[in-house]
Amino acid sequence: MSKTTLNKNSVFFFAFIIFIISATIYLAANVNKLKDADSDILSLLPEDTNQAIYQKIKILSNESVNETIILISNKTPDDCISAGLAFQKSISRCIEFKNIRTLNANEKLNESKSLYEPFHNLLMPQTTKFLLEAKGLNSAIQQTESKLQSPLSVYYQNYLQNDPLLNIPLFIQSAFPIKKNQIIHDDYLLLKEDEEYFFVLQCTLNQSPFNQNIQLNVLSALNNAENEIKKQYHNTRIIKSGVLFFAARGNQIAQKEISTLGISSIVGVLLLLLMVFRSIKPLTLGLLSICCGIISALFVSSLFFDRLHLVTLTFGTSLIGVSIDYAVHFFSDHKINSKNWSASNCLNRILPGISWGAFTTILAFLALALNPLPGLHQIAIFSASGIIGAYLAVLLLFPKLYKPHTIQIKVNESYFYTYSSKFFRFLHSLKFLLVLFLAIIVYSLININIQDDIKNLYSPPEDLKNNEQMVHKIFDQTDPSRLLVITGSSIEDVLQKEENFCLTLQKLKLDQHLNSYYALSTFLPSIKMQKSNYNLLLMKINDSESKLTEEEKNIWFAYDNKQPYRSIQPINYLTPEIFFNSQFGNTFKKFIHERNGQYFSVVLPIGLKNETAIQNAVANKKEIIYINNRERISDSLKLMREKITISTIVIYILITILLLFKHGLKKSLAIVLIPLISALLALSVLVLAKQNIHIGHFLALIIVLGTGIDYTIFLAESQKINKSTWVAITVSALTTILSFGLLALCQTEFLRAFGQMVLLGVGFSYLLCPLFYSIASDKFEFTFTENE
Amino acid sequence: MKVWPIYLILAILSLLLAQKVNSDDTNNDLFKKKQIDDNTIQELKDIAKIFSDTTLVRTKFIQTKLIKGLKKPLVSEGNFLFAQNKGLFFETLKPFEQLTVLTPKNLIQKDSAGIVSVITSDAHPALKNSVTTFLSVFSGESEILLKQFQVYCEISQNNWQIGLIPKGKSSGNEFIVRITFSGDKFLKTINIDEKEGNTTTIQFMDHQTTPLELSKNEQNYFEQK
Repeated sequence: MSKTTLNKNSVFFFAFIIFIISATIYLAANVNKLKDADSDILSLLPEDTNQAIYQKIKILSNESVNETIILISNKTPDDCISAGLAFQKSISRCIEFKNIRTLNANEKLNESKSLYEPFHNLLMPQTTKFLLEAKGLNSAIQQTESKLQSPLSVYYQNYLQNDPLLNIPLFIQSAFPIKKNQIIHDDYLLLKEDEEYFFVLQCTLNQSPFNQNIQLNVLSALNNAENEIKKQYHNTRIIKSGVLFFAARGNQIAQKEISTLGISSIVGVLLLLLMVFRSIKPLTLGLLSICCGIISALFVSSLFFDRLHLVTLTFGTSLIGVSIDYAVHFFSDHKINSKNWSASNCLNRILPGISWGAFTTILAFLALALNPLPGLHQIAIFSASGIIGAYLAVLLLFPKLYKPHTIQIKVNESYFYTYSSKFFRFLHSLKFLLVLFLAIIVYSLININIQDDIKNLYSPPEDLKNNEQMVHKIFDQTDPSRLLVITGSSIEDVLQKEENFCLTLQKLKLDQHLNSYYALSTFLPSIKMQKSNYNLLLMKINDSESKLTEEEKNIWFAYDNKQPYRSIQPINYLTPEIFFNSQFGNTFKKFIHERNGQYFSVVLPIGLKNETAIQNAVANKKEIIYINNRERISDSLKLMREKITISTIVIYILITILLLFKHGLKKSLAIVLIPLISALLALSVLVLAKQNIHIGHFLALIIVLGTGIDYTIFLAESQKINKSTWVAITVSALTTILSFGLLALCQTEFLRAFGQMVLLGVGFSYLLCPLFYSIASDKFEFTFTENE
Repeated sequence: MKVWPIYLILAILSLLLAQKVNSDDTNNDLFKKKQIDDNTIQELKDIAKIFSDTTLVRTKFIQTKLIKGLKKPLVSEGNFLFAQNKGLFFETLKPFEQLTVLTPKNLIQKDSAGIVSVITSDAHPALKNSVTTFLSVFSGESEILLKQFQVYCEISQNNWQIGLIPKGKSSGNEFIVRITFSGDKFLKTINIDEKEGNTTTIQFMDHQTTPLELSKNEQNYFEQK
């Protein structure tokens, strides 16, 4: 080797060392950023094409992700309230909570009264409006008398002076109907279910629930409070719901999996190396290439992304099995050419093979970045940069660090070597099975069952799901994944459209297609509606006031108020500014949003039974959209899957074309066909096992190509097959199968499916790669003799 | 003309009127008496027995409500029914038709247009307490009364009076100053005095204890939804 080449190699060696050390220092300095990995599974999904709608849903869901509902139950209302208040006091010490609210009936009532009372001549419940329109002022007054005669008259008497028609109390009652399971005890609103009383705490976090520190602090505070309360109050149950618990559990599972999979992968790979090469140096250098791969992956990804996702890090553990491949080929070459072996000659021999292998694998991973799933962009960059790091470690570090005169590779005739040559012959003899495999593939593709449900990406833990369902049942919360969005040019425009549409919703309610609905206009009528109410009132007063009977006048002119409901002009309406700035109206801000001059309001159906009815109701209305978020995500996933299928086909064609220049048509087709058949065979096995096929499986098709093609490339590059080449391929396959096989044990559905596909695909690629020679009709030499 | 006789007549009239107010306000005498305790509880139990022996009673009623701010009282008339283990209802016929049904769990109201509204008593503490109180009196359940109220009792010849003052500030009772029940063989009058100075008086007359079975119509009243 010339002096220039030697100097160049030294420069690259040190440059790479400096890069690795710098990257390590950077990662050490930003270790908190790495610890704060994102665990929100939905952040892996793409943004909606309808940006405005998506933003609105995102804001609504962002506000709800910080909310936590805690139900404290007991057998008696008194114990329930005492336990609830004690729990509240205990968790209020936790600084991660921005606020903790109880359901105090009187407080809410007083807040609403103080907001609405000044507008008693502008706000009116539907019943009063109906009475005025259909029957006149005297019928409306009769309604008041009926209320005053009832056992609940005490609630109405104070309104008589200014509001003899009881507009405000009846308006509040109609806006907040008391549900059957609600009871008021000592001013607190409790929920009752199956002879158990529930005290409600609504807690808002001051930061994202996906922040790991927040999760730790809040869960610790909640657990301590729960233990305290249960000691004091027997029969107390605490039921918690909110995104925080799902995020924390997801985090726990992912971190456990990362460490389990990571350690298992490394241990498995190193044991395999030890078994095959029977020496420490390959072990240590193998570990070095893995570390270089992981450091490169973490470093480059940190530069591109603010936060890495736990799914990326979990997936990254599979990189271990892939990145060791280049080191394996390096050590195996030493075995083939142990006499007068040198690193530079070694690299000359294996470089085309490992370079093509690395190139196709990187290309396959980068192809993942072509589709719009943000999560896959991370996985693509992470994996590609990891493979480059491992490849460069072999290329730049190994020649300097792997000194043949200090090592005796004792690769004797172990059982592994004896068996692997017999195995190769056996596999090569199975070429007749190709036809059978093709038949299986065709049959499976015809019977494939594709499911694009979001459940396939993520299935929440049963206990958390049960808690969520219980809270939903008892608290009767709306389902934020199903909503209606109304657009308009102003808040007034949106409120008017909402009021109009609420007439349709009322009809759907009467037809029992839904239980109820939550609409902003119920609490903040439009100015047009307020004007209409006032005009109706004045008209009826002018028509009928002089014709009232003595009994009716007795109520109408209570407290000698000679002119009830007349307003001084100009009238002060209940405006959105007044409403949203009030303590009561403040909580409704999340239901209206403005973007680029357009306004959106959200109407939430409660207890929706017939989705088709709602879809039909909005069918001809451009300004009202019904969104089923879950279906929307599933539709997105379907689109992604279709795009991924096309990308996969394109990648396969591209790689074939690139290989054409080196290997000609027959060989190129043979190189690509083996991983293609293997991938489809893997899919067929899962179809025959009656698995639901989803986007995770389709994504794995690209990876099977990228990793499985390495074996056929090496066979194509080798002039003769000998034990050590075949052992290198076998070890590569085993390490990859080990890594992805472990991924198939993940609890995260998406990763599990991905791991299953790659495990099977790479497995089949290995088993079928001897058939490369049959497809390529290439003559080859078996040289499985000793001392080769 | 001499004016002093006019003033004398006016003064006498005033005195007479004051006497009438005082004699109508016999309730005050009741509440000056000793509160029921363990020694005098038998009197309460004797009255309670009158009620507990009555499984079903039908009467006419007149309700008079004096509400602050209204110049005239609100008066309604109609039919009343109490049935053990079911509840009670007021079927108002004048000045307009209305049905009010009280069961241990619900207040059901049906207005003259036929619109029915159901309110669970758990959701309204004031309602819950009224329901509990009324049904306890009508059922003769003295223990419940003693728990929630300071109870005053007087029996004289064939007449009796029970007075109730809410104990402490239990939810729903904060509006009530006191309640008085009076009667002889049957309950004749209920007076409710509220904190704002409002009062409700319900008078029962034409008591009938037969037939013992509820008619179909009466059954339907309790089953309104």
